[in-house]
Amino acid sequence: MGHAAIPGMIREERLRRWIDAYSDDILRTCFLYLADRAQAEDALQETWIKAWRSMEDYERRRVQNDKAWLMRIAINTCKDFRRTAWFRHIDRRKALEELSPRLTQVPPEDKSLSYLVMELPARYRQVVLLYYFQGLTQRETAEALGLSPSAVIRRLRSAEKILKQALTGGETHDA
Amino acid sequence: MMHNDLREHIQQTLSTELAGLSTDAVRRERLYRCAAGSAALHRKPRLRPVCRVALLAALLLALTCAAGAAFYPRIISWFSREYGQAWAAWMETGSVALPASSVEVSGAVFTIDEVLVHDRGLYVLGSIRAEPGHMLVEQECSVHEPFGYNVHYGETAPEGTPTIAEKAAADGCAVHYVGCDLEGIGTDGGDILKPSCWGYAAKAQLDGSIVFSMEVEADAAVRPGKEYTLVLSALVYGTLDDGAIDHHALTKETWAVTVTPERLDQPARTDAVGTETGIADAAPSTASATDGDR
Repeated sequence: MGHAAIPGMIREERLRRWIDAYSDDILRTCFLYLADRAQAEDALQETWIKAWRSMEDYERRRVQNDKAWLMRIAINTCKDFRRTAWFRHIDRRKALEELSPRLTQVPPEDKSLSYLVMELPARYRQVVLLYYFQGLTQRETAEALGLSPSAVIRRLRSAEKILKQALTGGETHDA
Repeated sequence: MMHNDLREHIQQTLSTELAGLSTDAVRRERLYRCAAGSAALHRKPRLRPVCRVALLAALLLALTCAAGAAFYPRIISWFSREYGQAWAAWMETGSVALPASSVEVSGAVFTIDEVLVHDRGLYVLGSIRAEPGHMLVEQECSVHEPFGYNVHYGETAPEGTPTIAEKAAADGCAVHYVGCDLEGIGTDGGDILKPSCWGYAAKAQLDGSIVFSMEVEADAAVRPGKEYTLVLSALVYGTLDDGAIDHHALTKETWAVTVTPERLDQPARTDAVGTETGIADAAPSTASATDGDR
């Protein structure tokens, strides 16, 4: 009886550990993807529900990097949210202002980095969030997004160009 | 700025900017309970025989009522599928207009079929149909998804269903990514106000059309009134070589639809003015193209 309960207990402990360790990272990633706090909160909850239901899959695959595996679920959840409702037409600056009073003092023409990331096309935003923001490797980013490593590198280069250009006020030019 | 510097800069800056976005212990406990308890929530309930009989009777009654009903807006069916029957009951006390106003852009015909107004909420049901030789993909979807199915809504395509790309190649059609934006709402001829937040959902249909909905709730842009003008943008994007959406190849057409919604207990009438292309009356087949949408 006691032995039978062990796998479930391990899963529960694992879920608890993940929620403590990664909730903030996932919430911020979802916010940057969806540009809406309430949606990001919903996506966070959905991510944990999916993670819990995928525990068997997680164990079968012998996942090496928990964070990369969870980020894949989170990004896919955000994609689903974007495809359904209440996603695209939120005033992104307003979303940021509601998040932090400090950002309300930023002049509209002085875009914050969060705003720039939220403005990126989805294909670039995904790699920026996982590789630059969450610190995954290129290979982990590729696995999380279901892309080839070369596709990730191409997208990173393009995203890098856009961001550098924005951050340096247009010093960098596209080839 | 070097690659690693950029990475570090992005990590630090975003972490600082989003420092206010975090979860506390209480929230994390709730997340845990919700996730760990979710398996039980989704068990399919078993119906006892007496319940089955009652359900069958209710179904027959509903069918009888439906057969006798003269008109029931598809917009209510659409939203009740998402939000439930209580929502449908609420919408039934709103006002509806059937503008059937269309605009054609690059091989795609955008039509606003129904508009429902209730309190400070405004809801739109529309469709996008392809002209011969064209095939449409919703702008958030991919040509590699099965034709006519919405996998992100949990639909499963039967084995052998071609992808949109395969079907387009077989039929010799040009593929376009499409979407529709709500630019603003005017009430009783007043200023056009841009809603700060509005929802958009779209579903591919088996006939190749796309049905979409828009919803604006409790927004300052929706004021009490009799006549509403919707300013909409029809968006048609090109495709890249790999089939992905080409955001740089956008054709956009803005048009206005003015409606006077009427209470559902009064006969609804067709009334649309202000279509830029003047083809509002040229889309009588819209209803049949999207009847029974999912």
